[in-house]
Formats: sequence, C-alpha cells, structure tokens
Amino acid sequence: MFDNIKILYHQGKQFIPDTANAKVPGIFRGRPVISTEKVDEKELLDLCPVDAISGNPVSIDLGKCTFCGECAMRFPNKIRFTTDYKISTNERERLIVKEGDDRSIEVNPETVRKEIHRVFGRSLKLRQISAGGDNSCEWELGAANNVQFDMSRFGIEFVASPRHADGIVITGPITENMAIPVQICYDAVPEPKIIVLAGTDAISGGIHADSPAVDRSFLDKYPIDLYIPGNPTHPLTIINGLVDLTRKRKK
Amino acid sequence: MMNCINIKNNQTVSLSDIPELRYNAFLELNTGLLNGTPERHCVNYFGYRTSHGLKLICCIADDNLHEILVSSSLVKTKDKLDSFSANNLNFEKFEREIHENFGLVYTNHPWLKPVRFSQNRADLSKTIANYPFFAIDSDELHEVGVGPIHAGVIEPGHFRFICNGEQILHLEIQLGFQHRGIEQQFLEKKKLSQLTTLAESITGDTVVGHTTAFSHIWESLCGIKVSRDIEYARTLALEMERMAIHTGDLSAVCTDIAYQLGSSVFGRLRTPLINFMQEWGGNRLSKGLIRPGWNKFPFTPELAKRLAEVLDIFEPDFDEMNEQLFQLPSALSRFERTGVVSYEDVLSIGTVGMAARMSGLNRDIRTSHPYCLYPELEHEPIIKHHGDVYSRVQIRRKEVKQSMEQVRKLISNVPDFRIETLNPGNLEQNAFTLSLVEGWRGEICHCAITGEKGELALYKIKDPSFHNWLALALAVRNNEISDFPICNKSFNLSYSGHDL
Amino acid sequence: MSLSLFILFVTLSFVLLVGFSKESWAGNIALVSVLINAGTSSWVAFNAVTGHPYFEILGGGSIFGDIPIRIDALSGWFILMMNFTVLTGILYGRRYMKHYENKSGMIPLHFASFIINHVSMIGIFCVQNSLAFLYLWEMMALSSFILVIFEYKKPETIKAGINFLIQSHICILLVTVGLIWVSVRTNSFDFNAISVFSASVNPEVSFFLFLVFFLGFAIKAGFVPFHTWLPYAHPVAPSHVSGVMSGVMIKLGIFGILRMLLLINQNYLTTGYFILVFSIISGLYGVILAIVQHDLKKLLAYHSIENIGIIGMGIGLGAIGLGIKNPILAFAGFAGALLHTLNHSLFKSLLFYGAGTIYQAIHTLNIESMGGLIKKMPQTAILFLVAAMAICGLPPFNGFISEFLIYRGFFEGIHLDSLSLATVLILSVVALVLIGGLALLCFTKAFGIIFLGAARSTFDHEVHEAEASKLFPGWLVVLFILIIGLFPQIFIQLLIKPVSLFTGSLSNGFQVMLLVENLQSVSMVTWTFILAIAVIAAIKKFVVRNRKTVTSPTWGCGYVATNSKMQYTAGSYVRGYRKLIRPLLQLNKKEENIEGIFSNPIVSETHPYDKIEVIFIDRPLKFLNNLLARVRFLQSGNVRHYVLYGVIFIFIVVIFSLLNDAVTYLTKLIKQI
Repeated sequence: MFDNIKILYHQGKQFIPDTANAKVPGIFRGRPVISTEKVDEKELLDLCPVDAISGNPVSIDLGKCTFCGECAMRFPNKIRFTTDYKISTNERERLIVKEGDDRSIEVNPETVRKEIHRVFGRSLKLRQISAGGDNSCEWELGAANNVQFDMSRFGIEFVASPRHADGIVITGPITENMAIPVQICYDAVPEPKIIVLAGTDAISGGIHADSPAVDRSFLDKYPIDLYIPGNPTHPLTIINGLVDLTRKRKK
Repeated sequence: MMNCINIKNNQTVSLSDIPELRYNAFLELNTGLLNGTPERHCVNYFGYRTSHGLKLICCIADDNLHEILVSSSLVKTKDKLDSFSANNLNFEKFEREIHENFGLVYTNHPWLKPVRFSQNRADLSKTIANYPFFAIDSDELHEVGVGPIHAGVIEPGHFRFICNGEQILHLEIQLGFQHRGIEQQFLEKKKLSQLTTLAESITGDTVVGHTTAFSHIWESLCGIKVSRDIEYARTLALEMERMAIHTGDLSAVCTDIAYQLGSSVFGRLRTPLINFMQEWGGNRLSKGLIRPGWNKFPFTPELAKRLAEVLDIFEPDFDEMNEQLFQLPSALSRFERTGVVSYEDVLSIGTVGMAARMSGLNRDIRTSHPYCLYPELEHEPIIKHHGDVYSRVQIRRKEVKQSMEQVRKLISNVPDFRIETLNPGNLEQNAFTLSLVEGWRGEICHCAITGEKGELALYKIKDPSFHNWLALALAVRNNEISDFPICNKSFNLSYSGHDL
Repeated sequence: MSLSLFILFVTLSFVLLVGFSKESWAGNIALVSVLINAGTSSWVAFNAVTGHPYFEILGGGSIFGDIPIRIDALSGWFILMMNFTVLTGILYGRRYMKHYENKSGMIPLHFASFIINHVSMIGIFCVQNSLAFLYLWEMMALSSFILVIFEYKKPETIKAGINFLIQSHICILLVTVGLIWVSVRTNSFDFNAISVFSASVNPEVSFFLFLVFFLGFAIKAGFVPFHTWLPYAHPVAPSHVSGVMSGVMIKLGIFGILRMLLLINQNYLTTGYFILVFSIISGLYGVILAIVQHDLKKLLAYHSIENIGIIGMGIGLGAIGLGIKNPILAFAGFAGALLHTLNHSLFKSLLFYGAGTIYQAIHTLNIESMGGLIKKMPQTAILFLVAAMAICGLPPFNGFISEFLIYRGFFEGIHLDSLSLATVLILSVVALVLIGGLALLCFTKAFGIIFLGAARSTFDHEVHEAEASKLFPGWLVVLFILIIGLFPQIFIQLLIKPVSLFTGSLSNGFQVMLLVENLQSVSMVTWTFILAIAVIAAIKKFVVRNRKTVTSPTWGCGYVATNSKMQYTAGSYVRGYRKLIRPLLQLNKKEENIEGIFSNPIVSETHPYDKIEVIFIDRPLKFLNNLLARVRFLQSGNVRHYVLYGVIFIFIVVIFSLLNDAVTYLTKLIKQI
C-alpha cells in the first residue's frame, strides 16, 4: 500500500484546473483566422483535400476541414490557425469561418432546446457510437475521461447502455453497415435525448463523404444538438462544447 | 526461381516482370514455399480485374533472404478453383476476401464466409443478417452475441460466443461495420492531398504507420529517393506512436482487470508523449505529420531537447508503475495462462506482429525487411513464448523501453533538414510496388499497381489486424467469458483497419 | 344414516353412472360425486378439527370383525386438505381430459377410478381396522395405478406405471408385516391394539415396530432412498392426476407415520432424531436433483421429495420436542409439519396444473424448448409465479408461514441447555436454509426459461392462453395461498386441536400463545409491506399519468439479426452448480469436442441420471437378472413343458411325504438296534 501512495505522490496534481482557459502546447491548429488579402483563389481551393474552402469570399467550413494546415503553410498571410480550441457549436452555419471574422465560435443559447438546460445541466450521460470512425476520435473521447481532462467532474460520463444514456455521440461518417445499428441505438435512448456529432467524419463525412459505402440518412431525420469539429477532436474542445451546451454560462 | 520474382521492400517493378503461372502451378508454388518454413509468410494475396480476366498476385516474404517473392496467375471469375487454404491456413483470409470481392469459388476452402460486406462485393445477397455462424447442435449450450455497439468507447464489431455455462467453447467474429470503401476511394480520388488524407484515416491509431507505407509507395512509384531528414522524421514518429499507444494499452488492460491505479497512471502517462507530437506536428495523433516526399514539420534540435526532457520525466514514472503492476498477485493471476494461443496455431494461421511475437514466432519487419533508418538502429525484436495475456502485456512494456532507447539514440544526432516544396512528378506506368512497415500492431502492407497512363489501377491495403482477428478467436477458447475483455484488450486489434 | 354407508352408497351409484353414461358427461359426473363426498366428509372433518371427533362402528362380519371409524382432529385435518385438492383436481381434470375425448376409450374408466381413489383416501384417513385399512390402501394403489397409466400407449408410461405399482406393493408389504405382527400378538384388528401392544413390550421392539411402519410409509411418501418411483410416475400421469398424487397421495405416507407416532409408545427423542436426519437427507437430495432436470414435471416431482423432507423435519422436530418435554418445540414442529402438508398440496397441485396447461398449449415438457410464454399465456404465468414463490418460502405466501414455524422451533431448541441437541438443530437450520436457497435457484431457472425471454423453438400451431375453466381452479388455490399467507393466525387456531393430539400432556397454553403472537406480527409486517407497495404504485401511476410511454425492443447491442439462441438455456444457467454436485449424478454425455482451428459441426447432449436409482434399483435388478438368467431356460414357452413341471411337482410332493414316512420308520428301526 505504501508503494501505491508513493506512486500517487509522484504523479502530483494532474488535472487541468480551468478547462475553459487552459493553454494547449505546441502548434495546435484550432480556429483559423482568414485575412482579407487577395490571393489566387483557384490554387487555394484546389489545395484542400476535402473541399472545405470556398471562395468569393473565402471561407473555411470547419465541419469539413481536416486541420491538415497545408492551406496556412502555402498562404501564410491569408490563413492562420490559432490555438483556440473552443470551436464547438450547436448551429452548423457557425462552423463556417468567414474572411475577416475573428470572433470565437460559440454555442448559441437561444437555439438550444429548453429541456437540455433544465434536465442535463448537472449530469449528462452519453452513449458513444462509432459508426465508421477510424478510432482517432474514440481515443480522444476516451482521453477526455482521464485524470488530466477529467470530464466526469462536470457530470459528463460515457455509459455502456443506451437505456442509461441521455444522448448519443456519433463518430465516423456512418457507414452503410452501421446505419441500422445507429438507428436502433437512438431508438433505445429514452426521451429527452440529444445527438452530438464529434469529428470531421461525423459532421460532414470528411474524406468519405462521397463514398458509396456511407449512408448518412440518419442525420437528416433528427435535429443535431452539438457539433464538435476536429480531426481528431481535442479533449478540451469536447469538454467545452458539452459544458457550454448543457449549462448556462455566466458571461 | 523462375516462377516468382524477388523484390525488396519498397521496390517498384514492372508489372510484366511478375511471372504469370497457370493456377495449379501458382498454387503449388506458393503453398510449397510455406511448407515447413517458418521464416516465410504470406504478406499479401489479392486479385484485381484486368481486361483479360482476374489477375491474382501473391506476395510471400522471406525473412532470411530479406526479399519478397511475388508470383501471379490469371483466372476467370467463373472458375471453380482449389484453394490454397486447404494446404496452409496462412491464405484463408485472403481467399475469403477474393471470393467476396469477385465471386471466385473455392471448392475446398474450410471457412468460405464474408469478410467485410464491402459495398462493391460480388454477391450482394450476403448481408450481415444472414451470416452463417458456426453452431453446435445442442439444447444446453447458449450463444452470447455481443456488438456491434460495445459497452465502452470502442469501434463496432460482432462477437458470437457459444458458451457452456460460463465457459466459452467457440468464438466467431463478424466484422464489416466500419467499411468505408477506402480502397475504392483510392482509385477515384486524384489529388495527392486527398490520397494522403485517405491513408491517414485507414485507422486513426496507426496514422504514422499507414501514412509512411503510403509515402513509400508514392515515392517508389515516382522514383524519388528521400533525404535523410525525412526518413529520420518517419522513424522517430513511428517509435513515438508505438510508445504512446502501448502506454495507452497498458492503461486499458489495467481498466479491464479493475486496477484503478494502473489505469489512471498509464492513462496520464500517454498524454506527455502525444502532447509532444502536437508540439512537433500540431496534432496529437500525428495526422498531417507525414507526407510523401516532403518534410512538412522538420524536427529541429530544439524539439530534440524538448523530447529529451519529456522522456526524462516520463521514464521514472513509467518504470515505477510497471514494477508495481508486475509484482501484484491479483494482476498476475488475471494475466497468466489466460487467452493462450500456441506457437503451432499462430504459425499455421499466419499471425503477424505482436500477436506472433507473443508465442515465440519472430515476425518483425524492422529486422526482416528494414526501411527508413532501421538498418542503422539494428533492431532486435522482443519475443515471448507463453502466448498468454501476460506475454502480450510484457511485450508492450519491453517495447516501450526499447523504443525509448532507440529514440534517445536518434535524438542525440539530429540531421539537417531542408524544406522542399513537393514536386510529385508522374507515377511509373504499368508498375507494381509493395511497401512493408512495422506498425505498432504488426506488419502493414500496401501494394499499388498503376495502369497505362500512370494512374492508380489498384491500391491494396493490408492492416495487421487482417491476420490477427483469428488469433483472438482461438485465444478465448475454453476461457471464462469474463476473461474475454482482457483477451480482447491485450490484442487490441483494429476494426477500421480490417474493414477499410 | 351413518356417514360411511352414505359415502359408500353415493360412490357406488356414481361409479355405475359413469360407466353407463356418455363419455363427455363422465367428467361432470365425477365432479358431482366428488362434491357430495367431499362435502359430507369435510363437514364431519371440520367438526373433528374444532374439537368434536366422530366415532362409529361398522359391522364387518366374521372376516373383519368390528370396523371402528374414528375421525379425530388429525384425520379431520388431512381429510379437509385432501378434499380441497381433489376438488380443484377434478375441476381442472374435467377440462383437461376434454382434449382426449374420442381418442381413447378409457375416459369413463379414468373418472371412475378417480371417484374410487377419492373415496379410498377418505377411508384410509378414518378407518382404524387393520384388515379394512389394508383393503382400502390396496384399492387406493390400484385406482391410482389406473389413473397414472392413462396414456398407456406410450412405452414409458407403462414402465413408469409398473415401477410405481411394484414399489407401492413393497410399501403395502411392509405395512402388512407390521399390522400382522400386531394382530397376531394381540388377536385384534383394531388400531388401538397397536398402542396396547407397544406399551407392553421393550422400547427397542417398539422402535423396531415403528421402523417397519416407517419404512413402508416412507416409500409411499417418497423419502430418499425410496423415492425412485416418484420422478417417473408423476411426469407420465395426466396433470390433474400428478397434482392430486403429489398434493395428497404422498401425504398418505405422512399420515401413516403420524398415526403410528401417536399409536406406538416409544422413545420420542430417538425417533425424533431419526426422522429428522432422514428428512434432511430427503429434503437436500430432492432439491439438489431437481435443479438439473429439464423435464418440467420431473423437476416438480423432485421438488415433492424435497417438501416431504421439510414436512419430515417438522415431524422430527416435534418428536424431539415430545421427547424432551418442551411444548414449543413440539407445537412448532407438528404445527409446521401439518401446515406444510396443506401448503404443499396447494402450491404443488397449482404447479402441476400450470405444467398441464403448458403441455396442452405446446405439447412438450422440455424446458429447453420453451421461452417467452408470459406474452402468450399471462394468467398461467402469474399462477405459476405465485406457486413458485410460495414453494420457495417467500412471504407473503403460505410456504413462508410453515417454514417459519419450523425455524421457530429450531431456534427455540438451540437455546436449550443440551449441546448435542443444539448442534443437531443448528445443522438442521443450515440444511433448511440450503434447501430454501436451492429451491430458489431451481424456480428462477424454471420460471425464467419457460416464461421470460424469447421462444426457443417454433411450434407449428398457435399458442394461446388456457380456457377459463382450466384457470379457475388455479385462482381458487391462489386465493387459499394468499389467505394462509396473510392471515396465518386463523390456521394456527385450526391446528391447535390436531397438534394437541400429540402434545396433549405438555400443552401449555401460554407457550402456544407466544407462537400465535409471533405469527400475528408476521402477518402485520406482511400487510404493511403490501400496503407500502400499493401506495408507491399508486403514487407512481399518478406522477407519470401525463407522460408518454415508448416501447422498443430489448437492447441487443444494436445487432440486426438477434436470434433465440442468444439467451440463457436452462443447462447453461445451472452449469456452474452442476459441476459442484457432479459426484451425486450419473451423467450420460454425448459430446464431441471442437477440433482444429476451423471445426466441423458437432453435437452435444448431456442427460443427468439419479445415482441412487443406479445404486439401489438398477444394480440389484441387473444382479437379479443375471442370477435368474441361469434358470430362464425353464421358461420355454412350450405348454407341454409347463404341464411337465406340474407333474414333476406333484411327484416330488408325493415322494416327499413317502420319503418322510420312510425316514421316520428307518430312524425308529435304527433306534431299536
């Protein structure tokens, strides 16, 4: 037992005290900022592997972006990725970063369903469904639960059965073979329930959007409550997104 | 030998150089090559459509010669053929895949069942719902069906157990839920950036492994020889990825035996390693780091100093926790003699990577077909012999230490880097390339075939999980069903890498 | 008119009526007969139980002598219990047998036997003349044999029936030996002679006499190791017959033991210990083997053995109480035993009726092919559930009350000063607890696999709920189960007179009142519990009255093709347990192992077999068979040989007498020399 105490002592304080204002190390590519400089739009649009950049005016759709950073490397004066990791929102349009816009991406509290604030403010249990995800978002969702990011201190946890859950988190583009299990799982969650999409593949299909093995018709049937972009989603993005959705933050 | 061509890892040859045999000679050659020779194993065996019929290509790696023997044969999809698997089970999964994709019928295959229910399979009437599971005719045995949606945050797959009370008699694994059609997308997308993104998403926990294999293929087809700094970056990234994932696996194994301390400590030990990857390449799982022919994020001496710091802080905590875990009787009693696969079994089904090294079978591409800077590092694989969960966990622990040593050796001598802009050039026409990389699970094999105009005619991906799922099915036989999670976690195989 | 003559007259006329009337009326005629007989005997019996015993003497001529008919409180209790079960039995049976009309010609015979069986049982409880007793017992045995082999066309029915008949007769043999012994020594057929006789001899002889009777009645009751006929006879009989047999006929053995306990003067302490140990073995063995059975009726038959064990434990406890002159032990023991005979007849008959309904719905009794029946047969499921909870001894049902009394007696005995007694009683408590726990294991398996989950095999006809006339007797029994469970005080008051027959000399009203008060508190707690549940249910209904309820299929991990194999089988549920009791079972396995990495299809089947049956019945039979095989040549089948045997025999007899004379003459001659 003393060995255990020694180990615990050596670990020290691991948790990040303030997840809303923590600093991420290194050259993390978070929210991009697009300047209004004029560049060769054709080359810029051609550069993106997933056609996330649109022209006239230039904008980047974070729901499609794979955050590879090559557009910023090629046109450093036009596009710059900041380390702002708070990029989750509940409205799809807010994920599109426009030219000259440096505002942060936020959850719009007006359009959040009333019962989400009332019921899930202090406790949110989620069922994660991997529907064609390549395991990177799953690792990060798991990491959000470790002792550093510690999602469960906000009352957010992943549960084993959809019957115990308040909502589902989908990662991956929803393959044809997983389309029915996703529907079965969603039906098994009791009302009221939320749907969260985590990762580029889930939000827009990513690089697989036009593959015939992908069947995204599930997402057309229900309103989506939260989009968490990223490739893979950073644990701080996940935590801040879920907390902003379920609690009314004091401004 | 005239019946096959010997190529080295990452070598491109002309398609016409591969000898084309009649099917019976093809069968005899390849099954004969594997007869009683544990140093050879089949790394890839696939078919693709040509205007003359279905061309089958078989690649057998010879670890002693450090070469890969490639042969081919031309058949018609309507043919009924004898199967290689009746002779040697190394080929059985490949033949099932050929049967699923093209409808080729094998008369004496022991287990001809669907592999991944790909969207372009030959027989669309075979669906997930009517998969013919193995059944035992008995009133007293019951089946337990787990998945596709599992109890944790993991990928989907279906496991069908036949149980006698608490004891598992048989396990059959049905996959295909993660199929996204990547191989088909490789042929449809034309931009290099798109293909690289596809390679990264084959399986998100082996991003460096698959992207390195793709880069080797591309560079080989373009005839580019990359500079030392690029090879250095790739070697370093591969070993860092290995360390990070193994640490995460140790955490997951501790969770499955309900050892809370180990689970938390190993879980947090993974973070400094992947945070370093974020400092280097901007992404915790190294997406965007490796690119063909381009040193996108050069590794500078400052980064080397930073990495040395990270490792110095990581090592004592890692050692301390391991010491504690491996002398804990409650943990050892769960690990030892659970989920055993014997040497004969892994040899006969042809497992690769950690799932082979745990039972005494030496399969490690870093020694047998070295690439990047591995020839300099003179890598020695870590082999264990018991084939149980303990062996697999031991391998992970030792490989983390081994990788740390190799990384320290690498960062003591950082090469100069040049930032080049990418000049892809054109791919060679009518060529065949093969690239083998040792990912942290085992060997990854990418094969590419180009057509008349230098476009990709076929891109075949083989993740090590393709071989190893059968080892898991064998490992749990006669174990209690409550030991299944720990067996599964100790293998930690990829669902998305298998399903593509 | 005297009671017995009245009953005899009614019986004869109704039997004749059954014989001469239409097939479809046979059931109803039997019902009327039973009603009349039961009504009259119950009226008299109730009087006896409340303190007015009935007495008359029938003239039996020169063969029987005087036939005294004494209905005391003990007989009265048994008659009341029996009448109720036989009544529900015929109510259920007449509808059950409708299915067999026009298929076999045996229905009138069946119902006639039923009437005769009923009457013979009434007689056994009240007749106290040895010869008449034996006659009635034989009538009961033969009529129950006919009832059991109703489906005689099936080979296992005949085998089981003959097994039952033979063991029945071994029982009669032993009882006859005992009665002959007494009657030869005392020159009287009256039962009172037994008391006189046993008072006049040594206690060891008296105990031996008791042992002879005990063994005989133990075969009838189904104590281990004499139980081997039970698991064969009960499954092959039609369900209402199984219910009556399990509920009442095996209690005849208990009645016999109790009556002999009263009549024979003996050292109650030794007898008590003996019966207690014997019963513990029966109770444990019965339930241990019940769990591994997959035939529903066989499972219930082994449970009967277990409950007989529990009743025996109560009797043993009571006898010990008499031996050490402790009124609470005696009262608790005998009251518990008598109450448990009533309770067992109630819930066991209900279980058998449920089994019968299931059998008639899906035509199989193999638990492994059932499943999900609660959706198709909800009322049967509820009846089965109530009976299952009652048999496990769960409050607020009746099984709890009788087991509670026995526990109360045990715990009281542990507090006394004797170390050996305390040890035995502690072990008995442990045994009783183990029996209860294992019974729970067995019935969760039975109820769960039969009614819950999904159907494990498809049937080629629609499965639907039983008709109301089959369910009605079930609800009647449930009513009684609940009354006993919720108002135990009433039944304790009823039991005072029967038990005081045993404890007469000890009766200490104060101690007995203590027990009654215990039961009143039990009853109050049960009522509070039920009330609390009702209140919570009402609150819940009120709170969620406006909310929407969504139904969706059971969560199966999202798999699209779940099948019925993906649920527990009965074999898997008890596999861990079966490994523990392996030494007690003989397993006949047909199993193939999985060979190789890709296996061929294989088969696996195991059948558990009763080891006691192997040791006590099969091996001796095999030995006898081998022995007698040597003389089988005598059975040549040729009539002429048999005539020859007759001639040889006469020859030998004649020669023998001549030889005898010759030898005596010779010896006389030699003596003279």
